[in-house]
Amino acid sequence: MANNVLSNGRIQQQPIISQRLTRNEKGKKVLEIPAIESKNWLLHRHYTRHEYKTCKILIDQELTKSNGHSEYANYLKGLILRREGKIQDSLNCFQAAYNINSTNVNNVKQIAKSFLIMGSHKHAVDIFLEAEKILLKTPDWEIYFNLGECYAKLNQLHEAKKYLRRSIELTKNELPYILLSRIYLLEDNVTEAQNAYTAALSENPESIEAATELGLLYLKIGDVQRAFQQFGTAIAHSPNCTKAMLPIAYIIQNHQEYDVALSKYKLAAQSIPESYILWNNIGMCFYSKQKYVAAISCLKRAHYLNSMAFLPAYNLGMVFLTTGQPASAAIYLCAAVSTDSKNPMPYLLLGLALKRLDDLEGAEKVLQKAHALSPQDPLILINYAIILEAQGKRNIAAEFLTALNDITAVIDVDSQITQTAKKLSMKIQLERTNKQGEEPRILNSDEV
Amino acid sequence: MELFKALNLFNQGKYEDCATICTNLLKKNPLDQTVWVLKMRALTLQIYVDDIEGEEEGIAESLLDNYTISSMPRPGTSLKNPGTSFTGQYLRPKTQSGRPLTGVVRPATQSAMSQSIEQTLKTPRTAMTARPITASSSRSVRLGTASMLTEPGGPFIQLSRLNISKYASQPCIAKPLFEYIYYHEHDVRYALDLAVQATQVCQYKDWWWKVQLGKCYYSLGLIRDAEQQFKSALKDSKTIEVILRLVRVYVRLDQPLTALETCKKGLEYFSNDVNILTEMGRIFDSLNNMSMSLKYYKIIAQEDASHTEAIASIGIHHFYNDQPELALRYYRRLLQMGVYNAELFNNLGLCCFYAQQYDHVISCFERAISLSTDETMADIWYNISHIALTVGDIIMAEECLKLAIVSDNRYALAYNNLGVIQIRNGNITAARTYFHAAANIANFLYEPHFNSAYLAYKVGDLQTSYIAVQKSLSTYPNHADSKTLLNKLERYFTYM
Repeated sequence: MANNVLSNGRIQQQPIISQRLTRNEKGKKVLEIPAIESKNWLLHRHYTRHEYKTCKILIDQELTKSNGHSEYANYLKGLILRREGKIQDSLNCFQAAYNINSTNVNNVKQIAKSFLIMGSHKHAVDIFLEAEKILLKTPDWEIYFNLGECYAKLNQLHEAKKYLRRSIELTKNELPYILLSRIYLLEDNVTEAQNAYTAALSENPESIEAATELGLLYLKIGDVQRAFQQFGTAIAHSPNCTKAMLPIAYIIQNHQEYDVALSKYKLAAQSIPESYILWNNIGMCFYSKQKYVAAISCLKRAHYLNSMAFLPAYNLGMVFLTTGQPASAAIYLCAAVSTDSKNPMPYLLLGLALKRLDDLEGAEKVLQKAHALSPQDPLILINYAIILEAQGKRNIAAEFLTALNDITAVIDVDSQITQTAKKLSMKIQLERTNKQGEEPRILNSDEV
Repeated sequence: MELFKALNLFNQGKYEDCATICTNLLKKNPLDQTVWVLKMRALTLQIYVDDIEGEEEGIAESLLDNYTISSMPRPGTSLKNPGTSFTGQYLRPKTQSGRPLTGVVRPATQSAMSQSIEQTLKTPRTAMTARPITASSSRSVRLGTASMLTEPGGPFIQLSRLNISKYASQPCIAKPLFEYIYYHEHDVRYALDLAVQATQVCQYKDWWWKVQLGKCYYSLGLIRDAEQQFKSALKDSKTIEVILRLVRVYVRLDQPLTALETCKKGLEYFSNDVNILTEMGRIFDSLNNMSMSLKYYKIIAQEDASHTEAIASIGIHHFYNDQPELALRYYRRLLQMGVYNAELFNNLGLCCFYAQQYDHVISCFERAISLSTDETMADIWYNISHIALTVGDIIMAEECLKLAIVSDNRYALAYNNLGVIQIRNGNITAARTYFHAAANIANFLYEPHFNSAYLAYKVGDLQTSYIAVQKSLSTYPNHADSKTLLNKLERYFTYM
C-alpha cells in the first residue's frame, strides 16, 4: 500500500531499466514484482464505489497472479466478505494479509474486529492489545473504543471505562461517549452519564443518538424541560426521527394538549406502524379526550401487536372499567397481572372489576395481594377497606382506615380519598349495612 | 320404448341408469348413432365439472413456464410483485405457503408466487401436505383413471380407432363427442384434433368451437394461442364463460391490469354479474389492494346475498381492520346459511373473543376442534394459544402451541411464538433453537428472522444477527425495527 494521492495509485517504474532487463530471463521476474501492487488503486476505487462484484473479480485475478501474496487484495477481499456476512472467510483473508505484512496495524485491527463480530470477545481483546502495542506512538481511538466495547461485553466495566476515556481523549466521534455514558447508566451513575452525553453533544451537535438518549435520561430523572429541549434539537436535525418523536409527543400528552400529541403520533405512525407503544399512547390520548371507542380500538391494536406487553393490557383494563365493562376489564387485567406480577396497580384495578362483578371474595384476595406489594398506598388502603366493609368485616376495615389516617398525616393524599375515608368510618361507626361506599375515581398512573 | 326410457332417465339426471340402458341397446345395434350420442352425453355429464376455477398451478408451471412479459415488473402491475400497496404485513398473517390470508381458500391462493427454484420446491401446494402438486394435469389423470375402472369391458370409445375427420364434419355428433373426449377421456390432444377439424368444417364461424380450441390450448400450456381463440370467440358472441376464461389467461400471463380491463368490458354487457365481479375482487385481493377488493365484494354481496366467498372476504377484512364486531356479523350470516365447518367456528371464536363476547368463545372453539380435520387442527390450537396469552395464561399458551406443532410439525408461527415464550421464561438457548426452526421452515415470515437477529445481537453474535436481519428485511422491506437493527450492525460490517 505504497499508494498516495499524488501518484494516483501508480507505482513509479523506470522504463529504461526494465527495457534492459527484458532481454534475459531474470529480467522478466523482476518486472513482475511491481505488478503485485500496481492495481491497488483500481481495487480501491471499485471498493469505494460499492462495486463489489467487479472488485471481487479483479481481486481474484490479482490473487492468482501474485499467488496469494497481494496484501491489499487480501485485505479488501476480507472487507467485502465481511459485508456479505461471511466472517470466517473474511477472517482467513485478513490473516493471509497479516502473514504477508505483520507490521501493518490495519490487518491486526481487522482480525480483532472479526473476533468481535463473531462474539469471541476475549480473543478480540488480546489482538486489540497487540495492535495497540504496534501503534504506541500514534495511538488510535478506534482501538481503544473497540477495547472498551469488548470489556463492556465481558462485563469488566472498570477496564472498559478506562479505555473509553482514553479513546475520548483522541477523538470527537460520538461513539465512545455514548458507550461510556451507557456504562455509567449501568452503574447508576447518572451525573457522569449526563456529563458524557453533554460532552458528546458539544463535540457533535448533530448527533441524534446522543440527543435522544440524553433526553430520555432527563425524562427519567424528571427534568421534563431539558428533556423536551433535547428531543427538540434531535427533531430539528432529523424531522422524521421516531426515537425523539414518541417521547416529545408523550411530554405534550402529559401537558394535556392531546390534539398536538395526536398529530405527532400520526407522523410517527407512518414510519413505525407496528410499534405497540405508539398505539398504546394514541389510545390513551383518545381516552383522555374521553373518546372511549377509539381508545379501545387503538389499545386493542397495541395489544394485538404485543400481547405480552404490560401497558396495553393494563390500559385496556382501565378503559373497560371506566366504560362499565368489568368482565372485559377483568380479563385484560389478569393478563396485565401475569406480565408484571410486581406491580400493585393492576391488582387494585382487578379488585375493583371483581367487586363490580359481585365477586367480593375474589376482590378481597386480589386486594390483599396488592396490599402486600405496596402497604402504604392510600388508594389500595381505601379500596381494601371498602371491600372489607362490604363483606361485613367492619373491624378489619376500621383498622385499615386508621392506617390510612396515619399515612394522611405524613403525605398529601387526594381529597377525594380522605372524604371517602371519612364517610366510610362514619358508616362503620353507625354500623349501618348500607353498601353505598362510593369508590374514588382512579387516577391514571400514566403510560411509558 | 327402451330409447324413450333412456331419454327420460337422462332428463331426470339419472345418468348411470341411462348409460346402462344405452349399453344394452348398443349391444343390439352397435351402429345406432342416436343411442351412441346419448350414451356419450350421459357419461360426460356424470363427471362434468366446472373447470373454470378448478386449476391449481403446479410445480412445473410455476417454475419452468415463463409467460410473463417482464421479469422485473413495476410494483402494482404484477401478481408476483404486488409491492407498495401492501401496507398491513404486520397485521395480516400469512398462510403456510406464504401468501397473505384471504377470506376463503380458493385455487391459487395456496401457492405462493415463487421467485426461486428453492422456494418453489419447499412450499407446500396444498394446505397441509409438503408434497407439491407435480403438474396441473394430475387431477385430470386421476379422474380419468377412476372413470375407466367403472366400465367393465374396456373403454366405451377407442380413441385411437376413431375417424376424427368423419365425425368432425357432422356437427351434431362432433360437439358431444368433443365434450366426451375432453371431460371423460381427458385426452386433450385428440380433443384438439377434433376441434381443429370441426372449426374448419364450419369455416371458423362457430364461436363454440373457438372456445373449445382455447380450452385445449390452455390446458396444453399454449397460453397465447388460447388468448387468441377466446378473443375471437368474444367477438362473435359475448358469454360470461369466455370472459372468465380470458381473465384466467391474463392472470396466468401475470397481467392483472389487462385482466381487470377485460372484466370491466364484460361488465358492460353483463352488468353486475356475480362471477365477473368475483374475479375482479380476487384480482384486487391478490394485488393487495384491499379497499378495491372490498368494494367489489360488497357489490357481490348486494347482488347475491348468500355468496360465501364475498361474505367471508368482507368478514376477514373487517376482522383485520380492528372491527371484530362487524366481522362477527358476517360470519354469523355464514353460519345461518348453513356453512358448518371448523374454519367458520374458529373464526367465530376469534371474533367473539376480540369483540368481548366471552361467553361464546369456548363453545365455538370446542366445536371447531370437534369438527376439525388434521389440516385445520393446528390453526385452531394456534388461535387458542393467542387467547390464552391474552388472558395471561402463559403455560396454557405454551401447551396450545405444542399441540399445534403436534398436529402440524411445519407450523412455523407456532415455533416462533414458543421461542418468544421461552425468552420470557429466560431460556435463551431454547428460544434460539425455536427461532431457527421457524426461520428454516418458513422463509417468507419476517418475525422469526428478526427475533433470531435481535437475540443474536443481544448476545453479541453479530454475524448471525447480520445475516438474519437481512433476511427479515428481504421479506418485509419496511419493517422499522429490522431497519434500526441493521443500522446498528452496519457500523461493524462496513469499513471505508
